[in-house]
Formats: sequence, C-alpha cells, structure tokens
Amino acid sequence: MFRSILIAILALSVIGFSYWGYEEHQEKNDILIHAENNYQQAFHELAYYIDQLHNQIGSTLAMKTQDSMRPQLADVWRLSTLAHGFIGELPLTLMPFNKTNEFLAKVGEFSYEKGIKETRDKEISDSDYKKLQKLYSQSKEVEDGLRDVENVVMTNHLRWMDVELALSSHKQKMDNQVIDGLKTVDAKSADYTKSFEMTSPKNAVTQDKTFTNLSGPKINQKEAIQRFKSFIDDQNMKVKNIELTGRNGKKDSYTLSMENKSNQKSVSGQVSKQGGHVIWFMKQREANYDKVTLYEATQKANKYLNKRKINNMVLVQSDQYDHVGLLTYVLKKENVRIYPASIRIKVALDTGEVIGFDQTDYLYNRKIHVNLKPKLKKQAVIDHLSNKIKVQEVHLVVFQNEQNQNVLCYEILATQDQHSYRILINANTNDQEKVELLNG
Amino acid sequence: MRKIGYIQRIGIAVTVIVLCTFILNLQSNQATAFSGQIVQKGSTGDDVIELQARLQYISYYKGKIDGVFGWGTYWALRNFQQKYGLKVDGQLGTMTRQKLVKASKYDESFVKRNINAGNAFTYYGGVPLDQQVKKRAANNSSGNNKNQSSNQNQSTGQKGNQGGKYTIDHLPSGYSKSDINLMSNAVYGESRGEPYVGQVAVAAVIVNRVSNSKFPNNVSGVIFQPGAFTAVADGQIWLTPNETAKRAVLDALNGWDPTHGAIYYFNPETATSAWIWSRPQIAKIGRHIFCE
Repeated sequence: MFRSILIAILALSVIGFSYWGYEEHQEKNDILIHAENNYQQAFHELAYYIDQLHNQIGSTLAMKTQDSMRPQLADVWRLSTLAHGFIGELPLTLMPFNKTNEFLAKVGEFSYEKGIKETRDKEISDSDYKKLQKLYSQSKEVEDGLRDVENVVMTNHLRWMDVELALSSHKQKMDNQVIDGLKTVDAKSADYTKSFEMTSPKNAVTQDKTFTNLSGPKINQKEAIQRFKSFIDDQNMKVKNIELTGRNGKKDSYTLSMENKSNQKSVSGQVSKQGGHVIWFMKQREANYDKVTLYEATQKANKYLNKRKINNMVLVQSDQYDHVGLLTYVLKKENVRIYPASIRIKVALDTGEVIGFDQTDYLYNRKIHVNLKPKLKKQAVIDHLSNKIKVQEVHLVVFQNEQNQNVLCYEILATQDQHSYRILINANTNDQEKVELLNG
Repeated sequence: MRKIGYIQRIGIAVTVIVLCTFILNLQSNQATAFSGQIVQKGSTGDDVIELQARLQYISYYKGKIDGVFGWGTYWALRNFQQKYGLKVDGQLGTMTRQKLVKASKYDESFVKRNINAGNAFTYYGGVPLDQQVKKRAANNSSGNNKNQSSNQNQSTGQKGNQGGKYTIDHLPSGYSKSDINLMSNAVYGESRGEPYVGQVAVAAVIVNRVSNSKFPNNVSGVIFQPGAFTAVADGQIWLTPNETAKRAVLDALNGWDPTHGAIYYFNPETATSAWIWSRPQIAKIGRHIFCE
C-alpha cells in the first residue's frame, strides 16, 4: 500500500518535472529564436541602409549646385544615422567595427555640413567633389564587405547567437565565419560586387483603385471564362476554381485557376467584371534551357500585344533571367512615354511561349490626365545639370512621383565615368523629381 | 566560238565570286564565336560576354565583363555604332557584329577562364593579359584569414559552378541578391505547401508591405517585423528554400500580384486572432485568405 502510494507520488513528480522541463526548454528556445531574429533584422537593415547610402552618395555626384544636392544630402545624413543605429543593435560589443563606424560618422558630418547647415546656393568646390567621390568609393567597400558577410550567413545558416557565445567564451580559435567576415569588412576588402538600385518597388498597390471604370459591358462568370480562354489562346483548359474578388468590398473581378489534366498544364489569372479584360495571368511552368533569344522573345511579345489589340506600346525594358525573358512596355501618347501605364510580358526562352502577362498598371493608368505640353525647353533643363555628367538620351515622360502625382518630366539618361543615371526633371517647374543610379 | 568564250568567262567570274564569299564566310566564322543572333539590352550569356570583351578590347567598354547586357554595355555599343557610322540602336545586329569583329579581338579561353574562377580582370587591347588579372584568392588574403577565404570560395563556388557553368547575377532593379534570398526564405517558410500562385501571392504581400507606409520600407524590415510572419517567430524561415519559392519571389518582384494589393493574409484553419477576420477580404488563394 505504502509502496504503491510512493510509486504514484514519484511517477507524478517525474511527469510534473518533465512537463516543467519541457516548458522551460520551449521558453528558452522561443527566446533564442527571438533574439536571433532581432540580430538578423539589425544586420540585414544595416546592410540595406549602407546600400542606400552608397546609391544616394552616387546620385549626389551628378548634381551641380548645393541647392540641387540638398535633398540627396539630407537623405544621406538620415541614412547614416539609421545605419549607425543598427550597428548598435548587433552583438558586437567586443568587435572591432571601428572603420564602418568611422565611415558613417564622416558621411554624417559631411552631409550635414553641406546639405543642411549651409544655405547659400553655389557650385560645389572641387575639393568637396573629391571628398564626395572618396566617400562614394568607401561606401562601396563597406557595402561589398557587408554583402559578403550576408551571403555567408545566408548560405551557411550561421547564427548571431553563436557569435555572441563565441565572444563571451573567448574561444576565438573556432571557425566562426561571421566574426571573420566582419573582420574582413573592417580590413576593407572588397570582392563580391553587386550594384543596387533604389527604384521604389511599386507605386499603385497602396491606392484604393478598382477595376470599375473600364470600357465595355459587365460580363458574367461564363463569359469571363470564355474571355480568359481565348486570351491565353487555349480552349482545352478546364476551370478548377473561380470566384469573385475585389477590394473595398467591390467585387469587381473574377480570379480563376484552370488546368489541363492531360498535359499537366495549369494557369491562374484575373478577369475584370467590367469589360471582361484579362488583368493578369501566369502559367505554372518552368523553362530549363535557352533556345529563343531575348530579341526573338521581344518580337513574339510585340505580336502578342498586336493580336490582342493593345496598341501604341513601346518597349522600355527587357531582361533575361533564368531561361525567362521579361519585357516591360509602356503606353506612348503624342510621343510621350506614360510610365505608369505599363504592361509586363514573360516569355519562356525554351519555346518562346508567353507564360505571364500583367496589365494591372496599364488598366489603372492609361487614361490619366496630364497636360503633355512642357513649359520648359529641353535644352534649358539640360543646362541646369552638372557639367560633369554626359547626357546620352532625353525623353519626355509622365512619371508617378512619391506623392502618387503624375507629372510631366524630362527623363535624362546620362553617364558619369562608368555609372549610368536616370534623372527625372519636372518639365514645367524644373524640380528634380528623381535621380536613380542604374544597374551595370 | 566567241559566244562560248563569253559564257566561259561568266562561268569563271561566278565561280570566283562564289569561292570568295565562301572563303570570306569561313574567315568570319573563324574570327567570331558569336552565335549570329541579334543581342539586345537585358540579355545575358556568352554572346554578351563576347560583346563586352570586344568592346573593352577597343576601349569602348570600361565596366566589368560579367555577361549581363546592362546600361554600361548599352552606351559602349551605341558609342561604337556612332563612331563606325552604323545605325545607333544599341543592338548587336548583323552589321554591327561584322564591324565589331573586324575592329577587335576576342580570346575566349582567357575571358571564360577568369569568369569561371571569379577573378577580377579586364581585357584591354595592347596590354599584356597577365597584367589584367587580379586573382580572387590574392584579393582575399588581405582579410588575413585563410579559413574564411577558402570557405567563401566554397560557398560561392557551389553556386557558381553548377554543371561547370558560371552564373550570372541579373536581378530585378532595386533589389539585392540577399533581398531575394531573404524573401525566398520567408516565402518557403510561410507557404511551401501552397500552389505556385499562392507562393507568388505571399511574396506579393511582402512587396506590397514594403511600399505601404504603415510597414517598414525595406524587405528585411518587413520580414522581421515582430509578429508579422509566423515563419519568423517559429524559426521556419531558416529552412533552405527551393527553386519554386525563388521563382515565385522573382515574379512578385517583377510586378505580378495575384492578391490585388493585399497586405495581410491568414490561414482560416489555424488563425486565432479575431481581428484578422475583421479585415476586408480580397481573395482566397490556396489555403490562405488575403485581405486589405
């Protein structure tokens, strides 16, 4: 009797303790993951801000006067402060990270001095320009170093927690790539290179727009399916799923997915209720080799648009990714490129099949009202630019700025040494709407 | 008699012409490895490497020979076309190709060897080739740690040498390689069981959040925002993503948005928050409901 009670008590306490231990372990694990995520975030943010910093300093180099430089320099100042903050969040209490800090301090000082404190508008002195160029090349080194570490961290699944443990236990002998990587940054070794742009990812998504103002009568579900089939030019697809979707409670389009069981093909897309326009579609398929060139893919895409009666489009960008060609078109009106009204076409480079199409931005923006007659002459705008850059191409364009206003601009493509810039100058006010450092 | 001689003469002339063109053809075939196709901006691959190397040989192109037809290559080609009286279109067509091959040289084995080894190198005409290469290993030793450099070579080597082929880093503008890696991780951790379009949708939500002022303004900020993604909270984000997740991320970055601007999504089977159900819903894709 006594024995069995004892056994019961022991058994209960064993269960109790193991439950408690399990809870403790879970808790510790959660905290570890949380801390790790914090470090990861701080590090990636640091790398991001250094990227941005590098680009902003690069853009500043294209300016002529301090006045036109001011917005850029203010941004440089802001970014250097942010980057500084994130260095502080990393477990680097023992780490020699002086050079990066020093660089950030120098950048902050220079940009504050020239961009914020001084208010006279004058041309930049040669020594200031040289200083800027130096900061620019230093930012590149720091950026590359951080990217290297980031790359190693990501590919080898390294954890910052290990760094902290390694540092606190003073076992420097162990192969800790993060620590080594950071030392490399500190020694300013630049190897892995990748240029990074600062284009905003997307401008229309955050606006409450709907597909209700489109041309044509309202269609029902059956018609939507038919429209979709004839648009993708494949009558053998069977509907797998279709539903009414939309924002703001306005169900203004059909989202559907279709498949063909016999050849394993499947496609998803969206058709507007008003007018039955195919807004986008994507075919789920891989391309594993290149047979069609990007040039031929462009010819195919041109035909594709013509056949679907989408006219007056001009190709503004073409890119080749893993066996896929991506072509970006914009509307051209009275010889002005309407950048917000864009269409993207994805072509598989194995067979030349169009496997993706997206005209969301085109449908939203093709009827925007902007006066297409510029107040300023082209030459007047060009004269205002730095004489250190070489203007290569000038186009009249409509551009959607960060305030989501559509403005008429001169798009000036220019080079300075090996760098290419896109400079957007308001064609009515001569304000600088955007400066962008271009890839490669 | 006279007539026959005339015909004979024509015959000889024709043969000579045919032979000439044949020989010319042979020569130009020997001189170039170009595939003979038209190359335009945005292309990647062997033709672009040759184009860059040849333009660099005659000092028009001063950038890195990396096989990506970017802006630098574009201006170089246009300048070349202008100087040589060709149509200035920034494309490598037949005429431009012939002129370029005539004006420059291309040492394919030198260029390819250095690209494969990941060396920093240039290819200017008139400069000895061995002076134009900066070996990768030599560069790294300044980092004073052998261990690190060898490890790094390994990790880049794994990616760079798939099937003996170098990879070309060509990314959507505005995003870095690590942005894409990070997003692939997040998409894989969040939605690896979902259909392809569902994975694109999750990636699109990240993109939408970046451009939304209520959320952080960069990819890592959005992904690591506390409480934003369950895959981050439970550590699943650190699983190794597959190619499908990467493709989905690229599609989303390039503008495809199956969610129609959604900034939230949830799995109705596991969602515990009542708040998320109150959001206006846009669409259901796979197992996830996407909302505003």
